[in-house]
Amino acid sequence: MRDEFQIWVDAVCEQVRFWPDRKGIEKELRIHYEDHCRALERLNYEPKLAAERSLRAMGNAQEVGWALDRIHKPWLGWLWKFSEGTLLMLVLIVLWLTVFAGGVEQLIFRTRQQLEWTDPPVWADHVSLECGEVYLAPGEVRETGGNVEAELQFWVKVREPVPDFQPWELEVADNRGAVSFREWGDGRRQTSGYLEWERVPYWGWTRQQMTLRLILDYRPDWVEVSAPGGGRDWVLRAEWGEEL
Amino acid sequence: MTLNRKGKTVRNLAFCVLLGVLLHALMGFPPCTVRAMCRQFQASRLLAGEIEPLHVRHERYGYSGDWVYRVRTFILAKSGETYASFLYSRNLLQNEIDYHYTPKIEQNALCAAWNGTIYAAGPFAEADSAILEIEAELRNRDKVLKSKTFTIAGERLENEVFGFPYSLDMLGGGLSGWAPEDLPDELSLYNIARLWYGDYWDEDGGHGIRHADLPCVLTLYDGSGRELERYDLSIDNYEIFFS
Repeated sequence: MRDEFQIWVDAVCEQVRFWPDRKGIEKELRIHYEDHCRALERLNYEPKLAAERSLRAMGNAQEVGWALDRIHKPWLGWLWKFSEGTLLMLVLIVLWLTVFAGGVEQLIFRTRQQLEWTDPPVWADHVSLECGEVYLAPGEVRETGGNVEAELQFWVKVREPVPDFQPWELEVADNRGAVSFREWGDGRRQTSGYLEWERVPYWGWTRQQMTLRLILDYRPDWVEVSAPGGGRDWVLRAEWGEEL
Repeated sequence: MTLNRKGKTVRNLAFCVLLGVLLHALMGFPPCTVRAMCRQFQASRLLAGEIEPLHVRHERYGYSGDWVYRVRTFILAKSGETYASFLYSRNLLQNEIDYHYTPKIEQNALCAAWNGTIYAAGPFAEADSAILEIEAELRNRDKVLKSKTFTIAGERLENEVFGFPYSLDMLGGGLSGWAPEDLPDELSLYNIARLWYGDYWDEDGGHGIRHADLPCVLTLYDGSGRELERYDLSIDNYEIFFS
């Protein structure tokens, strides 16, 4: 009869289209059948008769199979399997990125940069672009080591996150002409007449505040920062008043 | 509370969405489409006007050390009167600007070379054909030892883009050891861009290739062959040979 149970349960499982559940269904039905057999044997039924009666009580294999098939819907079953697999894969990828690829450091730093944003002062020059807002304000001017260091504050707020921001392609000029990056000439590094943008490991998600420093041998009256490419599609100007 | 299968599926999918957003952020918000790449480039460079792609070229490529092939996307785009060229490189889930090609941003017209084609982008809709002349010079300090002009006929690729193909025929390594002035005259643009601009560091015994702007003259013609306009542009020699 136990062999007959196997035949019966195989006939049930054949009706269940979502095959990953068949093993679990067979296990449940087998437990139910064996419980019923033991219960009848405790009532002094012969084992063979107990098995026969228990199998008959399980019902028609095909009808039981159809009922179980309605519960174990294939589309839900496959969607569940897909969600489990995708979730596992995403967890592994995120773990790898955070532990091995500096992901945590980047998340923390960029979020901190984003939150450390302070609104630009009302006197900052401002331009609205398709991609966001840009501000420029004059900062401190000091004399160090025979040079004049003029600092400007530059704020950028874009509408979509950018992985990196490239201020070094912006055009910078003061009242005496264009100012560019430090260069080598005749085997020596330029000692004045160049600019530096503050460098950070990561930018904020959509907001970034940075310092532009001009190292000159004169005090500038004003500095202009304009769009890359030389077209002056937008221009921001920072002016310093009379020297106190 | 024990969830049924439907509940577990919904829970899993919700976690997938959250992890997907986190993953997208951890990877630096990689753009998935060409328009998204253009918008990201525009925001990172603060270009003023609405950016639109003019010409796009996709290629499969593998850098040494890569486990799988990358897909590189070379884009020519326009933002107002500003033209830009840049390269994105996709490797599995990551898609980011590829600095093996230095992005270019120019006003009114742009000349950029990548992987066997020199592109000229600008207000060229009226032109029927175009010719590009590129001049290379072999110099010894301030003295010009040799010069050569390459003339290439253009092929219209888009409304505002012409393409000028050049051969990627890299000559054998043996010629790299020659002094530039001893090299044969019949060298292609690709080889001259490397071999005429080498710097030799006698103290270290090594050498490198310096960057140089090669002047280009783009001439546009109408259907009857009448000259419409000329543009004085330039290309960095590295764009020609370093792909």
